[in-house]
Amino acid sequence: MMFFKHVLRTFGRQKLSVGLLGVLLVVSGFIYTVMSLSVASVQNASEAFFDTSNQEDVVVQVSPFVGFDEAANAPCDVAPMTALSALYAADQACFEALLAVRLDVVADATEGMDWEWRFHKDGFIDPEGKRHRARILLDNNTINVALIESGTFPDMGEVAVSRTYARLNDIDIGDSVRVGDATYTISGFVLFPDYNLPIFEHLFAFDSAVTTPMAMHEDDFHAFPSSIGVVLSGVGEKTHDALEHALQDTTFVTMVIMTENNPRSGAIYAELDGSQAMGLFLSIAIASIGMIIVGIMVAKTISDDRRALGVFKSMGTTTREIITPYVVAIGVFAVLTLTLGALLGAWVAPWMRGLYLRFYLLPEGDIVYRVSDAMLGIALPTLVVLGLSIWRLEVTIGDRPVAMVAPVVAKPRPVKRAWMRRIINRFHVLTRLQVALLMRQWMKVAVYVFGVSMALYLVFISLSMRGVFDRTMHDYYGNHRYESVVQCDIPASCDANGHERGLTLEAHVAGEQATIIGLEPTSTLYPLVDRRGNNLLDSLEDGLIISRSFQDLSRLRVGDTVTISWFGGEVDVDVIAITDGYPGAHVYVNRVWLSEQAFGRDDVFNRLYTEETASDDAGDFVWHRRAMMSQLEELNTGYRVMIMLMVGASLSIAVIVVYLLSVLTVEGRSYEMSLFKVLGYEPREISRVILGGYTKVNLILFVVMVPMVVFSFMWLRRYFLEWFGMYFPLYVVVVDVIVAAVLFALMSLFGQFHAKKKIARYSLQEAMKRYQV
Amino acid sequence: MGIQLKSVTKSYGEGDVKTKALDDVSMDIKDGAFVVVLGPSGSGKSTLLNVMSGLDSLDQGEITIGGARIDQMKDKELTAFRRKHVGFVFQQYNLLHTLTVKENVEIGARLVDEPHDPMRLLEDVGLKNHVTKYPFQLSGGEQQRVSIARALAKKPKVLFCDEPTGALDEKMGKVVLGILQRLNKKHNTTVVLITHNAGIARLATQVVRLNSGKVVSVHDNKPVAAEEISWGE
Repeated sequence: MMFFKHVLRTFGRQKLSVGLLGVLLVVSGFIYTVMSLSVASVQNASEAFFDTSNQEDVVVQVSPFVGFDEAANAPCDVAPMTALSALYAADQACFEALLAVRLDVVADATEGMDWEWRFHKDGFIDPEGKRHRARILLDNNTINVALIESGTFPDMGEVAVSRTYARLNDIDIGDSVRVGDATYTISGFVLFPDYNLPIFEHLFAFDSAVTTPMAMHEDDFHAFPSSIGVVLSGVGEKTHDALEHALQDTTFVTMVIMTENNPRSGAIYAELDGSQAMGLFLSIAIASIGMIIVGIMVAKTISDDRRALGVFKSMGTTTREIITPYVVAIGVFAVLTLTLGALLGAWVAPWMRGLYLRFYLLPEGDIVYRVSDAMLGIALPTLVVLGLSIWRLEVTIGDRPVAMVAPVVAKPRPVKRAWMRRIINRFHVLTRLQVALLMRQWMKVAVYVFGVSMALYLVFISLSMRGVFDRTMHDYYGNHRYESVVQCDIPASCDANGHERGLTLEAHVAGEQATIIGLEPTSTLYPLVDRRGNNLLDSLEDGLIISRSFQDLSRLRVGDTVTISWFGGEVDVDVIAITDGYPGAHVYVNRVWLSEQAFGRDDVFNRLYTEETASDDAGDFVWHRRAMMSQLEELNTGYRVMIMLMVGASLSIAVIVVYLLSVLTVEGRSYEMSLFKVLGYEPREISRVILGGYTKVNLILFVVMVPMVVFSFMWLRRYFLEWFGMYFPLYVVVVDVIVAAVLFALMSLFGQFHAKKKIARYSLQEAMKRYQV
Repeated sequence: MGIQLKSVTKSYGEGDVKTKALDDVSMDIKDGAFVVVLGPSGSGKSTLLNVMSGLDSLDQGEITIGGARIDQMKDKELTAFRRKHVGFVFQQYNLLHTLTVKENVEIGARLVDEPHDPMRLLEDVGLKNHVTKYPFQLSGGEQQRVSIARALAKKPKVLFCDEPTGALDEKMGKVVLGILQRLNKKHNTTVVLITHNAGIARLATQVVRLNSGKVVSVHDNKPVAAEEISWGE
């Protein structure tokens, strides 16, 4: 019992540090649990859903135009370069015959794969006067079969929407909704397993509060007045490279996207698989820092107690009797704090699951706390903390009692390399002392460097995450000046009179998939500006302008000559400028030039940008910029909460780590600081000599971390763009560097100030007796 | 630099367990004196040294060093006073093991504008050939000599020595005492040395005896050379 009291009082003397350590462990348990439970609930239900629905393995995107060869060999009468959607509207039989030919060509080239066309139309659903977007999918027979979560598959006059959309808009089965110009009855809640069909042009702009996938009876679908979209869904074992190779001579194939890599499903897979890994990684990373700090604190506590322990040992106390109270105290502390974190995590997990379901169209599963969650979230970190503590205790108590009672005088590590010694010997004696103090305890310095680096990285991530979604889309659309974008077929199905024309095609630019956007150089509605705000539209006559996000992906520079290729054609062009903004893999050219290159004439367009709000029947599909922005704002609100949580957690972890490390570092130097005070050194000089080394380490760390963070962000941006087609604009800007420096300095100084104040209370004569240099 | 103590009292603990470590202690130490404070364990020797040097505060009384009332000084002033006028030699040497012998002395020398030459001091204490060694490579006596050199490097007017030979054998102890005695004469530094070894008192020009926190006697003495004293008398 006495030993327990001794241990509790020893830790009790470091209330603030122990309290902060507890916060670290609570956060660790919380992050792991909330991520693990929410993702597992969605993941398990999703995997079953993907299996039963026979989810596609690959999507082949095809040219939306009838090629010259196709037109010549078509089983029906069709002009070359007619848009497929226009053909569908004019002659559905011809449209189907042409697609049947295309499917045969693909199937012949890819033996062993199963293929099925996927049809969709876009429309508006108006529950209670609201105006939301719906993507209507025609259900398939074998691939990507719809899942009816509740109710029944729609009959004539009925539709099914996603359950999350229905919940967020108070829609029940049996309710009536207007879709387009007709009224339908909700027959049930539906999910589709293909995520390659973004509701909007922008891949990320999906929010189940204002958009929904929709199922319709086949006859209703064909009768629905909207432009049709097609892709080819495939199931089979072939790899991306094998498919690209097999289809390389098929001119109507524009893109082969594996499900795991496609913009939406890939992001979901990464989210599902990665979230658990990320949650685990994060909690392990945080717990590791926590454990290292626990290790240092235990080591420090034991070092402070070394003489007392030596006395206990000399009295005949066994190692087990000495260790047990430490193990119990640390174990109970770790289990309690981690359990508290787990409870908080379990409490927040349903909310997190709701957030996932709002942005990803996935089935909902129950939240279940499993034994494995307790093992990984509580038991494992506890065992690691305990293992580390026991190891440190064993090392300390392993000494002979007489050695434990005697003052600790460790031998320094003289610099062996002559060139290093020569450099160090040139330093001022105080600098030599700073270097010596750092080298003497290189292990503690290494821990300090590791912990502070992690903390700094968290600070930079937190700062960069602020407004990340504003930077991606909101700012982008906010800078545009048109009110509506009217989507038209080719040949033109809409009246361009009085509007600015655009031509948008999918293409390969320098080997990367990109959206090539043809604009009028005289455009006043679609601005293209560089980072300094200079207008770039004038220079469109001279070549290609790439977005900053595409530059990240392609690593192209101004002056490079690149090859642009699209269905059957290719052309070389110079990169003349880089435009600011993060719309994804977008490149810009002169519309007239693109029209001539792709269609052999200069008047082709498939977009109209209107100064006034266009009516919904102005083209095949119309979307309005302000409505889009208000939806983005709503979407942003959800992400903002999530990001604020992450930023808050990251910053608090960073603050705690830097504070604790600073306190421990200063306290670890209490003897030297006291000795210098006895010798007559002033507090400022003592700080310079004893802590100056750490100040230099901090400075070097910060200077080294900035480029490291810049490179890691660059890699992350490229990774997300390459694999998920998603642009994640993590950037280090000057203001962030300044804020990070100030935050870091404040954290370190606060820790040092607190520790120095504590040391100032030490009795100098007692400090001299400790003699632990 | 002379030292005057007037009715100095210092207690530890509170209430029933309050113990008077120094009880109405007064003394007058002359400039350049070599004072040995003798007394058994618990007599208040270390407390006397600590309050006299400003390392610890006192409850009542006055302490004047070179005309300056150190009992009235604030922490910052005490630090400045120690920096300029006071040197310390501890029983456990208290060297920095991360620095070489010469560097340890330089740490003391850089505190003042015109210090002693560290090399010269190391020569004086017989460590000329050990300047690049680290403290752990030296014997206890040699380490204590480094500690003395460090204390003297800044030309202190007063040198406080807390059982400087407590961890040394007779031979090494006499060497160390001989150095202190020689440097006291050479630099006219006032030396206050506390010890429980009565034999050392023969080195002193002034001997103070303490018991139960009170001064039992103060008397002048004609010092003998260090090698002539009886060890552990």
